[in-house]
Amino acid sequence: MQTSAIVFLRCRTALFLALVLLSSGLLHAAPADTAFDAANRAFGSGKYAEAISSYENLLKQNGYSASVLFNLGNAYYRHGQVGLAILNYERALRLDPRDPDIHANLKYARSQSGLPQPSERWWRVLLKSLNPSQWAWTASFAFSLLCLLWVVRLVRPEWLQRVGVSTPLLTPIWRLILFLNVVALFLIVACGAMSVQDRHEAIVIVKQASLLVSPFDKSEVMTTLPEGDSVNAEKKYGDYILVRYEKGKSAWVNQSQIATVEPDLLKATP
Amino acid sequence: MKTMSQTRVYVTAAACMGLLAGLGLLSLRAADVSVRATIEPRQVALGQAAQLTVEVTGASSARINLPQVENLEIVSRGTQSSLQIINGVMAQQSFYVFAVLPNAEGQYVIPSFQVEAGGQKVATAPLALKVFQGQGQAPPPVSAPAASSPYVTGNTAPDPQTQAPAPRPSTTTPKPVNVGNEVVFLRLYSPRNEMVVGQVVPVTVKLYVRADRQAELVPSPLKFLSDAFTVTLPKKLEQDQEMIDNTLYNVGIWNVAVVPVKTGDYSVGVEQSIRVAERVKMRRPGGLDESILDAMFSQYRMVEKKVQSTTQNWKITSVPSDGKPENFSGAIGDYTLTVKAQPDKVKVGEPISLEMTIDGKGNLDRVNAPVLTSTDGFKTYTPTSKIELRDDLGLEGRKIFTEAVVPLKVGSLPPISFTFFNPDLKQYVTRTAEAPRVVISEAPASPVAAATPTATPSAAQKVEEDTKPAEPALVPIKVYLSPFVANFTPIYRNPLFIAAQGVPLIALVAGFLVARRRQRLENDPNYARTHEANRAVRAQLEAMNTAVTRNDAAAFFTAARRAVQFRLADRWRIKADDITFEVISERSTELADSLKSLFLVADEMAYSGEARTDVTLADWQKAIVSLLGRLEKKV
Repeated sequence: MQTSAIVFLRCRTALFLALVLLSSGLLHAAPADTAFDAANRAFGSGKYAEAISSYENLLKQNGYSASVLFNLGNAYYRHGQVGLAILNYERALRLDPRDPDIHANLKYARSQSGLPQPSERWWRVLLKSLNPSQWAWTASFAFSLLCLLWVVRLVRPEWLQRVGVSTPLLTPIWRLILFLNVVALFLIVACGAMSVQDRHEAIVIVKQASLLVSPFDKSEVMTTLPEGDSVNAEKKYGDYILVRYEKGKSAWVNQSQIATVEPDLLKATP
Repeated sequence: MKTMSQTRVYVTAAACMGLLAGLGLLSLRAADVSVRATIEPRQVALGQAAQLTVEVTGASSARINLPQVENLEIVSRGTQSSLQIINGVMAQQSFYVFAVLPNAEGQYVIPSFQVEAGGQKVATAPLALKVFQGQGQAPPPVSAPAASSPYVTGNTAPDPQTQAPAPRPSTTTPKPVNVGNEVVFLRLYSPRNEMVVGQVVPVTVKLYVRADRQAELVPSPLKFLSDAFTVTLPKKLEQDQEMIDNTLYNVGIWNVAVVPVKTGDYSVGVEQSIRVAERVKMRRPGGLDESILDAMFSQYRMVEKKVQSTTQNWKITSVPSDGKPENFSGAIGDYTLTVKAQPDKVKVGEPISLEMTIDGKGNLDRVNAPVLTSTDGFKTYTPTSKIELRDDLGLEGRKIFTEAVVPLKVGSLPPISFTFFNPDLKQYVTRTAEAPRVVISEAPASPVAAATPTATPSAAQKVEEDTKPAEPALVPIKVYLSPFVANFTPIYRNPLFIAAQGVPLIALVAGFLVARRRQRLENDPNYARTHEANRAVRAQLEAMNTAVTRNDAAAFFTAARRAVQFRLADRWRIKADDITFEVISERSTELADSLKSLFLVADEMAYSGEARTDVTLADWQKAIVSLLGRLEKKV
């Protein structure tokens, strides 16, 4: 009796917790859906400024979502702010790198702004088919699977035989699992290294960004970059960011003229 | 035949009256005469009457010199007087009531006229009266239900007043049944006595107060004497006048919306509190002229009354369940449906804004949005709505729904339908509107693809070419919300994620250790024996613990001896059962000395069943655990 009562209480507690988690999820989801629909309606009615405001609020309140960023990119594009459109397409790609719509609109926005299309080698394209987090999860899953199977093989080998994996078969399976793990680990390392580079990518969000020799207002302008062009942000000093805009060439740009694809990436150096 | 005592009373009363009259005349002579003329209402429809009241204070009688006004007929409706004695001072007040009957519409001014009272001539202020053409065309609201409305009155017989659009005061107006010579009465008019739950029914309530009586409404709402309805009252009370059986009545009109909320047969009436001026007769001596006495010994005061109408029997049913359409959402009334859409050309994924208007009479607040007859190939969003009412009671108006619809494939908008229950027809009605033509074309997979159509375009692609802009467009916005993430930092930078990777690693190490131990147990007999001995000793130590808890000396010493036997058996590689005190003595004198007492006590307990009380089991336990520890080390 006592045992069954304890089991009942545990079940009830678990059910309660599950309901709380579920309801909190639903409560969280419902307003976001409503706000997303409202923003889409504003976009559909041609009220792009209103749509931009709604999408931005949605991001501020809920975090980042590929579809919201994509739609925000479209709204900025329709509103005539190509730099911000490209910035949001880039952000959307970080979250959903295989979405053809995002690729298409990014390409379109770049071409409409007269920007060159970046050409990437096949292995970079392969690495970018998943974002770094997705690669990490893949590797983690593969590693966990390897460990689990290995533990079963050590402790309960009869279980493997029971599911039809005989001892002679085990060796090729282990080789395959090991190979996949090595590949996954390689990819995560490569992707991680690449993402360090990409993480610092920044987009010009004004019509023309002035690249300065030094981080001061009256500094000499070295060159200018068009809206939507991308640079590599390296560090921040006051209101200025040191960017690398060509191989081996760096300059300072006012932070109001560019935005990093990963928001708030750079910490200011006093 | 009057007796002497009666005669004496009359004489005394007459003397008192004379004295009072003398005092009153003195008082009145000292007081000023004041005159006030009012006209109510100030705007009337042609055919209706306004009431002109001349109030004279400070005189017992007055002569009114009414002016002649073209197209206005002013007819006397009587006089009302009162005499009040307040703190010993008499005050006389007279009301001269006239009906003002216009013969043509226009703006009239009744000029100032003189009132002769108490030897004085007092002029009134001019009075304005606006007369407008007919009912329902001018600012003041309609006072009676339309003649075409099949109204049922609260009285037992129909009231001709309700059928006459212009109830001009007339002596030919039939008197309502049961009205009699009532000063105040209330009547309820309903267009129907069979209703369905949720239906909005316009109902009129009229409060009649005889025009020669002052009255005021108690500030409490009109009350329906049934809980089967919700009632929406008008923002303000309309006023009118009606002539019933040669008596002019001031009429207060409530146009009310009633919504039945439960089924059944109900007797429905209304109730309203009102304060009415009533004559209060004072004690007076009998046998004198009553009219004089009434004038002298009566006064008016406001008396609160609850006035109830006669009841009507209303039958309330629910909407029929037979044949109820699936998309019926509770709308009851009579409506039309119109649909607009914009833009007229979209690509797959781009939203279309549908504006659907439900117009008509009924419970608009319960009207839900019309629905697409087929949503296949469309994503629909929750519509927004706004109501535009044409009256204060919400009886008639329109509800406009705006809904975003996103086509997910090439096609056309399906028809849109709306279902309601028509209580007049007593059946469900479905209005279906053809959707406006919107050309939906394929969205470009990419700008490049859109810019380079295939060599043999399909019919859909031809439509697309017709509607395609000069340059490739953006891929449309997403209609489905993808999951949110807190930031862009890759998960492998999260310390928790890194730590979590240790879990399978730890499991793997643990698996290795378990496998290695199992292998050693299989391959090393000594290790296996020691492992088994350790397990057996641990079991006996558990039994000792239990025995100590229960203070069971016999069980304790039995377990202790077995523990020592298992430990020594492992050490000497013999069976545990073969370990006796003699065997121990043979192998180790030192060990035998330390174990002698244990074996003796254990035997004693085992064979005699007597408990030792000179030492505690806990002390024994400590000693034995220490001994077993020493034996294990030696092993």
